[in-house]
Amino acid sequence: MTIFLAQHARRADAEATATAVLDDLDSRVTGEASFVVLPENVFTTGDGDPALPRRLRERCLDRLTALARNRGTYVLTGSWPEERPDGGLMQVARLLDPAGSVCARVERPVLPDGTTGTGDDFPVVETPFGHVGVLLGPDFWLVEPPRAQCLAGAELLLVAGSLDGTQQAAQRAAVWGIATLNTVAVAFAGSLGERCGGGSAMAMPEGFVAEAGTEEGVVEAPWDAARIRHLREPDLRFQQTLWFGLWARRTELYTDLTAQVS
Amino acid sequence: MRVAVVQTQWVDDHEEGLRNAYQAIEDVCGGGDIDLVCFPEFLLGPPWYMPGQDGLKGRTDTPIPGPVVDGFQSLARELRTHILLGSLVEDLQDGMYRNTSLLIGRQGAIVGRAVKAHAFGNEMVVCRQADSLGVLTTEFGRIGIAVCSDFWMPEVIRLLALAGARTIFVPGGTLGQNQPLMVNALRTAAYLNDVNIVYASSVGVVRGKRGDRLVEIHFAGTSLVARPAGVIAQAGSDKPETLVVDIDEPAPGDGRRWQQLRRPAAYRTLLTPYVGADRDLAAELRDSLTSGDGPDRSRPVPAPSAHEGTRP
Repeated sequence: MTIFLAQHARRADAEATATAVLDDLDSRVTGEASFVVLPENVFTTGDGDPALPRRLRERCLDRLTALARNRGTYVLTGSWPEERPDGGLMQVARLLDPAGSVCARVERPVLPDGTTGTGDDFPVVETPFGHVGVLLGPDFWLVEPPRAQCLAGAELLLVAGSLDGTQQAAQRAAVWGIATLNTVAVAFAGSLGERCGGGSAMAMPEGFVAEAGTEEGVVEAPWDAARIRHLREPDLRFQQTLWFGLWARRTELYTDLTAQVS
Repeated sequence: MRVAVVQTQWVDDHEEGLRNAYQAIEDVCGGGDIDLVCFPEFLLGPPWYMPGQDGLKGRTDTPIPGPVVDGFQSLARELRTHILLGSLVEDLQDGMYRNTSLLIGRQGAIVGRAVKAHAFGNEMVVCRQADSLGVLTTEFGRIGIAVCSDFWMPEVIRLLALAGARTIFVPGGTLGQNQPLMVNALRTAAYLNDVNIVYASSVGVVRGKRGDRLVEIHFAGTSLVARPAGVIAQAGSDKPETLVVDIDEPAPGDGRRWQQLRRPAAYRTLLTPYVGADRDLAAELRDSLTSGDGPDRSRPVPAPSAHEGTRP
């Protein structure tokens, strides 16, 4: 079982970017794929782009659906802006199953500065390859959403993300850190652009398995949910200790996390 | 704030360990410019409830207040510095204990304390846990203390940061096998929460039996100071050492930007247990301690190791 992470530079326009990304995926993703993950703003710049034109959107979704079906893999489509009925914009990411059906959908508002907002829903999907959490944009960098998904059983987090902070070395390292602190695998696809430093990576709690750095391409990494299940199993001989952060929680102490902060 | 992070070496004689701690304070505070001296968890040496350490009962545990704390209070008063006693095994005098961190102020008074809230290992059986998490208001602003395994709950550092702590002290102990991921996890917590993290660990080896099995616990130091952008000072892994680091309150960075996007009402799952937690680990540990058999793991460990950890 293999995870493929897409990281591509923007071309002159969304149409050219989409063609480059989708062609590359068609040529690189093999039948070994269990998951293919694309980044936030996969075909656009994230600098206040308008909604992806309907025809282009449909064509991209058709090709990603075909990829899912032909390779028998789950595909996290990455996100692109779509127009809401009220005229506002939202970023939309979909998880396609191997039949090409949408099994999870995450929508987040596009904020006035063009960046992606956060949300209230953190889906966890049961798949033959383990329980997966789907995250889009800055929810990943908040402590709470990845944590909530792991508490709900997610063994792998699929992240359509961007390394778009002001402290990118720390942000890059945090992909692994979030995996460690939640005893989870993280498949992070990062945008590559003027403000976004790539950083696509597969991280296990013990370290990075594969990293793209700032290079364009498709990263491959092995995946086996059994490793996460093993690490999460209590070992009262304490040879392994990474289970502790999930098992020893004292939920009565955490109520302030759900309170509005003044 | 100028902080001295003391990486202690565990020695067989706890009196020697105490003298070493005093000496470390005197050495680093000689210039009169240290605001706070931070020690690791169990600065007097291994707690009696670690494997094979029964003989330390009544020696590395102490009542609070008591003579051990008095000595540090006198030193703080004399040197006009804060001392964070990373942790002491507090003897509650009723058969139970607490893993307690004390902050002593420049005047020699105890100005704050934190009790470990997430008992680890045999602490699940013999220690009382904190019933709240809070920050301390000091001349340096609000600070937090997360005692060792408390750090491994991301909720703890998050709560302290949301309560206004800009520097969080983590007195702990780095297990050798966890060293690389420990450093990165501390760094990550600093970044995501936009805080400084001051981490103090001991070095040394504890040997003993757990059930019928000999174990060795290797503590790999690596005390460090991390700011949101990364680690700014780090000790080695195998000997006592003192880091002296100037830290300022971090300017708002990525972490605070994202905190403004929090949706607390959506995080109620955090108030529920991990969906896979279906065992009473404290009861299992209690049974193993009273039966004399070592605890076990329900699945075989692929590569049995001679090393055992007591804390993440």
